[in-house]
Amino acid sequence: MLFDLAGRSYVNIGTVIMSSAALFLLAGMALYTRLYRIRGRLEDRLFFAMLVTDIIAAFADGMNNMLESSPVSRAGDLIIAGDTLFTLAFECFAFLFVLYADARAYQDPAHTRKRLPLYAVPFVLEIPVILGNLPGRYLFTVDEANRYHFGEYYPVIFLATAVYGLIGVMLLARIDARLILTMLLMIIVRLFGGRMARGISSTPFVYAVGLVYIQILRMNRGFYDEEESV
Amino acid sequence: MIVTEQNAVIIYSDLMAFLMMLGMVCLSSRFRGRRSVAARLFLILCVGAMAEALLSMVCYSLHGQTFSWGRPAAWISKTLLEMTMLVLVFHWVMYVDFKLYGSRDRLIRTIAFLTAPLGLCALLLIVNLFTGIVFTINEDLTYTGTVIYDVLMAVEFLYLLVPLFQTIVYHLKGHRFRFFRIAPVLIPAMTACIVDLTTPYSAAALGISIGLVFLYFSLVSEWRFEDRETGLCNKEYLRYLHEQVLLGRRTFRYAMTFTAGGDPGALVAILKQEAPGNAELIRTAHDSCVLLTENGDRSALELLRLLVEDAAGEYDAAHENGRIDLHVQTYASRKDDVPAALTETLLGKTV
Repeated sequence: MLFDLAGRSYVNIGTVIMSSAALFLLAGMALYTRLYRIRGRLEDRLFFAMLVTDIIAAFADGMNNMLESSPVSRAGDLIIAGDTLFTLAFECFAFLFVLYADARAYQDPAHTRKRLPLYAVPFVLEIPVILGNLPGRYLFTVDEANRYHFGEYYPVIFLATAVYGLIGVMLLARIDARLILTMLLMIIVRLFGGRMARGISSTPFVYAVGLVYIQILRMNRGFYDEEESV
Repeated sequence: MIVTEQNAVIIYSDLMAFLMMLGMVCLSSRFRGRRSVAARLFLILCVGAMAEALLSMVCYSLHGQTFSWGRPAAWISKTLLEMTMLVLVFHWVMYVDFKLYGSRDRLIRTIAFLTAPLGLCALLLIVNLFTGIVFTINEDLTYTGTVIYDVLMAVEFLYLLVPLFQTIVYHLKGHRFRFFRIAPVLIPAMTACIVDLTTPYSAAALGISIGLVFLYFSLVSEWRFEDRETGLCNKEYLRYLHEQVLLGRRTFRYAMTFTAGGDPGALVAILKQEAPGNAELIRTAHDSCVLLTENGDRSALELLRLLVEDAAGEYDAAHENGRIDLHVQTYASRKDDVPAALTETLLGKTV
């Protein structure tokens, strides 16, 4: 084989493959949704924000796994910084998703803006918790060999995501029930498949596939809200 | 059943690719009622990608196992995987050919020309089940490829690359690409192939699926602007072109409007025949079409007008009861006009 992968953890390689796939998918999506960005509705801007957030998450996740167990100096600090960025992007994506679902469900920018402070609460509460990990290392840490370890309070980062997940499901029901089914399927596969693949991280990829599904449903409607072109 | 760590990575990426394709096919309502060759070929590509992901999962789940029934299962699944891959890339060539030229006759000629390597490889894979000339299955259900297996891989690779040459030739002939782009499909697929060739990991299903997602996006963009009855672009496309002009991405110098007092179907047939490959031909109403050109000169446009009028005259002479009754009007963009003046005029006329 051209690349010597001996000594690299399969989890790292698997995660790099999934993050690269997510980056390909997201970069392509950014190109193909250009017209929607030009259209410039609130939902279009939120969709693009989700896309950018997921690109950051995929890049940070891929970089962390490239650096893990690496002899590069200060790799440990870079991993902590990268994972902090990943976790913030992970939470921010969920927050943006709820805003997007609200914008789509009610089709009223004023309604979404009114709910914005309420929706922001879980994300804002998580920010100091995540940033506090930089000195405290209670969520995740790295050892001297630059190997990543989960901290005692790691599950705390899922609290905000769980809240957003619940709100998101309720809002999605107003848009399209098929979207809930397909996204739940992806999340279940992510949870159980990830266990089967023994720790490979594919969260940015699963988010990217979620964005693909959303885009497909968006494309089912006409661009100018016509039912179907002549 | 114990799956090795390396195979777990491959199975997981195949599973994700399969789910991505499944979701795409299930969620899209754009396929409903579409019976075009391109839509059918695209559906075949999606089903092929799903089959490829599933068979790859089966193959890599069997790797390193010691089941009594594992050996025949490994032979069959690996043979089917290679067959599926060949059929998939072959349909990819057909799809691109049809997207570029939109001609069934040309597609049939392409199939006839390109079926030989596919047939030979399929024959070799069948013979391989009894002789092991392409690959053999070892005791631990891993496989070892022979030189012929490398040739098979090269054929698959070539099928993947042939559309690249087709698009280059198409571009050199002076044709314009509207929505179909080959790079977003080829880049992830080729990257996955390179990962396959240079590492012990396989991401072929993932790369192909990502490429197909992009292909779907471009296909829907195209359908949005397609007049289903005639296959020309619809009025929304004129609006889209106007937006492109406003953004400074396109400029148009000349336009012609064609109105049929009688048979609009015959007018469309004539325009399809006579319009230059780099012109935008749009059906703006049941009985009228617009032709837009970015460059060229007035004399070329006049020649086109004469050609269309001659063809319409011939048709009218031959069909006393179903005449076209053609009316043509030419518009030119003046030097002191704002760039979007021409498309704005046309849009105003079609409201």
